[in-house]
Amino acid sequence: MTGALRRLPHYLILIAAMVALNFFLPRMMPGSPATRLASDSGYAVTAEEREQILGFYNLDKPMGEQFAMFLEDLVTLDWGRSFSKKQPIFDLIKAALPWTLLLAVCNIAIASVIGTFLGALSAFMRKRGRDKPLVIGMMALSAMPAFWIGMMLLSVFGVRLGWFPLFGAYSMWGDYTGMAYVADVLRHLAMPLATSVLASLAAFFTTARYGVLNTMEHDYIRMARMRGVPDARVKTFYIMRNGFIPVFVVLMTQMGFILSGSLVIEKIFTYPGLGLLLADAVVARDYPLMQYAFLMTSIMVAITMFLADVLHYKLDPALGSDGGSEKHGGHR
Amino acid sequence: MKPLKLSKRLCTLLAVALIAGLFASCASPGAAPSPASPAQPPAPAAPDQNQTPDRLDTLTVAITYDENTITPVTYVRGTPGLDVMRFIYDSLFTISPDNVAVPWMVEDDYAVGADMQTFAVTLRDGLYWHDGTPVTADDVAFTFDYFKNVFTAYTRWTNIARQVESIDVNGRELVFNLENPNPGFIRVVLADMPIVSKAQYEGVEDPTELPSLGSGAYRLAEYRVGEFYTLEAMDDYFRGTPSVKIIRMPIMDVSAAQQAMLAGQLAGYTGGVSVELIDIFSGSPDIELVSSDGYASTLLLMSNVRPPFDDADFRRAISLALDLDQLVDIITLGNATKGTAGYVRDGLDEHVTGLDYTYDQNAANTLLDSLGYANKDADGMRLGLDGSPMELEILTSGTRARDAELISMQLESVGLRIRVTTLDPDALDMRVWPDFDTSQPHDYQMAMFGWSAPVVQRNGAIIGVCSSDYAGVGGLNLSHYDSKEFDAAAEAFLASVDPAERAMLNEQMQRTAAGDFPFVTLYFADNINAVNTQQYSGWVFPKGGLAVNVFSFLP
Repeated sequence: MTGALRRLPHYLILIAAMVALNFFLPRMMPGSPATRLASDSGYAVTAEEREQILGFYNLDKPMGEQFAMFLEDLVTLDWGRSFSKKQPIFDLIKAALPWTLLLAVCNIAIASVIGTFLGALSAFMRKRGRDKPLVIGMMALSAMPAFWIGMMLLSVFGVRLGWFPLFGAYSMWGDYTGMAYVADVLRHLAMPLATSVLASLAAFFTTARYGVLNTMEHDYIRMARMRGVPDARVKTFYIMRNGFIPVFVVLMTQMGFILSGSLVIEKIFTYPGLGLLLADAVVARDYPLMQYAFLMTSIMVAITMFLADVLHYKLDPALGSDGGSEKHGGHR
Repeated sequence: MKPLKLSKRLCTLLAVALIAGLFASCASPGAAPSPASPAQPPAPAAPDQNQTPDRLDTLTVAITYDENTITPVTYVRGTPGLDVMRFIYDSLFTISPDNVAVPWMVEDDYAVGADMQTFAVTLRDGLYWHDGTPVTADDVAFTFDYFKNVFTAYTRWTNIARQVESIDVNGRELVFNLENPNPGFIRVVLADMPIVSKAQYEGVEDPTELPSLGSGAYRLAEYRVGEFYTLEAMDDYFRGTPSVKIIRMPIMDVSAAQQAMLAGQLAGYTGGVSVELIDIFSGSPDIELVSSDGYASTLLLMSNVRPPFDDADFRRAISLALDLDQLVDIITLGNATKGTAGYVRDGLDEHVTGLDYTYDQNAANTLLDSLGYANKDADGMRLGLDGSPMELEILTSGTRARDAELISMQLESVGLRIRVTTLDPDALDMRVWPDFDTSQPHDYQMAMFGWSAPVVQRNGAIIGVCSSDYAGVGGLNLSHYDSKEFDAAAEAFLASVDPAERAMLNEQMQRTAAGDFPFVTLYFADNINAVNTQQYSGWVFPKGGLAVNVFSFLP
């Protein structure tokens, strides 16, 4: 724990850098929000009108002053209004965040279990060469972009077979409560979740496979077998338990990829999460919404990385409380 | 091993708690009311499924963008926002399905002054806001004043309200006084401005927080940000009881809506059908495809101030080299109307016949040779006037990249080497129309561009794209075309109130522009709408508009 806490300043610096990048990067994109805000009138905008628009949104102030205002608003949770949706940003993010987290957490849970299981299975079958179809299948899966998987699932299971709803996170006009509501949410979650699980399975598979194969080579495994420890016990308690530690690290780092990947998936399935919100904000050059949506995603990733650090020290005693594995001579 | 066991249990418990917590925090359909829900009328009861032949209880049509709370002060975009706003808010006039401005909130016997500077209308009786209070002439006058003087944020309505100098109110009678003659006033102003309630808006510090309150055929019963709208019919609407009680509008993009249409989960959506999907939609027995005239233009802009495009003959050579039929056939699969050198689309009142582009590559080659571009490199590509290699650039966004590629092939066949540069739409705007300020210098040679239907349909639309008054009436002249002859005709046109004289001047403007080729009007793509006629049969297909429009639900 101490080792992980020692890294806390690193994460604070990381978050500070994220805050700055989230402010400056959108402003470096081509295009002005003023043009977006005025474009639909079908009239040319005079310089005076452009200044009026910029002034209304404080975009006419020097960049430093805008940044100071941004920091003040960030701390006071006064996040202002979205340019494009003209709604309080805090409300927009508050409404979207739970859906994204639901999708991400379920994805992590399912993809890690299935991917790790298949990875371990593949490792145990390697010598017999029976893992080739599994490895080839996983490689093929990892080569498929998430949007393509999503479109295929949508087309087959949504449009042709009609098994799952094509849009939304729940039946918007359904009067479900309790377990019926949960079932309804799950039904809507099925295809976005399947897409994200299929898209992120390969990372867990390859990590688990490598971890197990690596652990199988250690002397203490041979020693256990020589001592006559039953094969199932060796696999479960000696190999998998230690071989899965890298999987845990991947599990936490995958959170970032999953959150960013949810942008595409949420767009395909019109799933009302942070990704969909972010995609709309980018298209509309909605600076404030982009800033805060990116920031929320970035902070969530930083938090999961920090948690990964903390829990990694707990899970792998070899790391000790104050240092890396070098001091303790690496793996047991 | 012990710490691992504890972590495992702890993690399992945490995971279960987290997922359960997320379920709890994901809003349920019966959660808190949306910010757009008007406080007064109770929310509609859950619609039953007992459909009657003449009136439908519910219909689901998708809206392809989140259009905010659909009030004039939170207006986002014309399509589909304004189309849906027409369900909720009325305007004094409206654009009929035949694309004509007709009286709506006002009596049919309106009067237009001979000077085209006064417009007298009488508000109809029996108009009510959705909270049950009557709509008055004061509300109308307040609306124009509000967007002209009070609501300072620039919106679509700012420009519209500024066209009115003053309004005289006498009972239900209103007289609009204009500073300058404006024959297009009814269409551009009175048929566009949604009327808001004075009682609701007056003195309110932040009107964007106000719920949607109109006098239209439907009221906004519920809005959930990024998810859906629910519209409820106003049974006592002055134009008759709407034919669908509840219209459900999930928010989804066009591609998702098209899939949902094919799956029968939607009756329609606020977007067109891309030409590549026509065959797929046609194969569905429940779906009807209707094609109508489209007015949105696709143009090849040429910078009239940058060589070699500053020479009208060079621009003419470009137009001669372009095969518009091929463009229409390949890009739109034949679902478009070719453009003309007079800019105004065939089918509009101001269209002038006989100004079609000529496709003649031999003539283009001859003209280019005569202009001094006869020398070619080893690839057969023309060299510049100074003998150096010449490469011309077409800027495009992704949506028109295929047009640009096809045009580059056509121009290369007359020996012009073309480079197609695909940009993000905003980056394209910044080079072609920096800050939306036409008076600023632009940075392009050729660019794929287009104007939306309302811009193309305006009276005297050609003035916007051809007048050299960049900061004024020529605010859409992105080519920086500059013709004294055109400007004189435009000035006379704007000052004239005589229809015959205006027609003559309009023709003069178009012929002048057609001789100078400031840009090439490539085509006007058709509007192709897809609707499910099994779920609902009352669809109305307006010219240049969407099937999801308020006329589809009025008797």
